[in-house]
Amino acid sequence: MTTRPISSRLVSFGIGIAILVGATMAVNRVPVTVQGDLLKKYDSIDDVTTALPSLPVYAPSYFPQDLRWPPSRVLAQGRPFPAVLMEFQGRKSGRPVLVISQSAGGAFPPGDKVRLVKVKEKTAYPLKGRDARLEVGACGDGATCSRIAWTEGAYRIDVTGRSAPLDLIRVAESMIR
Amino acid sequence: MALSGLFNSFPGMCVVQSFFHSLMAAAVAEIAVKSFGIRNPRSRQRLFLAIVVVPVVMLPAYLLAGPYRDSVPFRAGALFDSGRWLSLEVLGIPLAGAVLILAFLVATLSFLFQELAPIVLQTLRPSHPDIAARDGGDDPAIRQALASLPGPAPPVVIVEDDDFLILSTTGKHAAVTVSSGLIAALSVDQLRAALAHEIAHVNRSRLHLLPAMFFLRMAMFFNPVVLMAFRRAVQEDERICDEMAVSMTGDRAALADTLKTLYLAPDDAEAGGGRRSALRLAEDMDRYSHRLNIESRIKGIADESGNADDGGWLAFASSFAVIAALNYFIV
Repeated sequence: MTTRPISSRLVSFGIGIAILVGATMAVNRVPVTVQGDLLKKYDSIDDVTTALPSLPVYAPSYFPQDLRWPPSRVLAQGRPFPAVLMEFQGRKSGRPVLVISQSAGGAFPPGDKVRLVKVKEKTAYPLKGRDARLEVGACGDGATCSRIAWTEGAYRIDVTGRSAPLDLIRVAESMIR
Repeated sequence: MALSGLFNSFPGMCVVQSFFHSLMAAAVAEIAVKSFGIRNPRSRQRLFLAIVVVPVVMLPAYLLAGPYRDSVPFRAGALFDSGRWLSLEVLGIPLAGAVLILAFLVATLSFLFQELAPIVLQTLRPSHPDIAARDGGDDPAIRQALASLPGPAPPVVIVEDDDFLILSTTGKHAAVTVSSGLIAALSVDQLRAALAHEIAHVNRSRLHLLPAMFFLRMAMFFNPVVLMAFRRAVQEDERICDEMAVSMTGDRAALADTLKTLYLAPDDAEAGGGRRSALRLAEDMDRYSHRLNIESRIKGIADESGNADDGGWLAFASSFAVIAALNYFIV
């Protein structure tokens, strides 16, 4: 029996893996194609309200000048529970600096760039008649981060930013009408 | 909703991800076997055991290395997000979730009744003092068969039974047990081959590889992919012992003939006419699968090049690297 050279076998292996990756990506898209309300990326908030009309999107009317509008990333789902996540970039840094997430079910956690991983201070904060919780601490990379969270109807809303809490509170207040 | 809540919990997430990680590992291992042309049973066994190890080892490693794999942006950009499939509903039924639960249930029952129960029963069952047994060292055929085998042989015990029986017990009191019916049916060369195969099992048991793997396999008792991979690894162990037996005896034909005599006897005529119960069908399928396995072993014994170095370590290293990289993006 003839034995193929190692390079040829490695190429076959590489082709096989490439086909496997392609097939896995295709399989991953099937549920979203079949059922449109599963977790996926949207181009804008308008697209979310069009695709998921029963989902109220809580967007801020006040927006700090050092942030870019519109959100750089919008992720939403209607199932297994309705939820939206919006990520905003800094005007200068181009990095995500603010994340607003709303969920009517389980956790809908943001990525590592804007996630409060170490809480240094925690306090209750009255936010236009809502009982909010304000936390100050550090994000995954050690930068100062703060988060304010409250319940709005069926939704738990989390606003997390790479900044001191003052700006965050103004953003949060502007989301309540 | 209850089902998705179950899958979204931390234990549920671990169970689901470990299943998909082993599925990906199985696919990569299969591609490696085909593209590298792996026929050496040791190389094949390494790849199949990787499927058992991967889900147990990699998920904790990922959780330590990348605690943000649970984040929504990561999941949305992942290679495969199991949550999508598990949230998919057909006519209001979470079909993929239900199928997965069913597969876990079948695998768990299979583990309990086919793998764990026999071990527990064997441990609890008292020995049978009514079965007559004698020292194989006094038997001329056994003495003749063992004479030309290299190295020290474990004690051989003969049980008085007309059925064909040969097995090895491992551990501190390792021994080979053989029935008088089998000794009578085999030639000295065939008996030597059969004993060499069992001695190979005793020698390999000193590595404690499969028992260690069985503990990992137990942790994945619910995982049907691990169930199949472990069984394939055990089958490869038989092939490894076949090769060890051939290297001890230098006689490929004798071992192949032994397998034919022991396991490929003409099937008994089907009793009861054309009616076949489901149980009978399952038994037939089991027998057919066993027969295919034995035929494949006989083919492997005849193939002298099957034990050659076939780049198995390169295939294993490449596969493991690919599995580790791809599974990180499977959530």
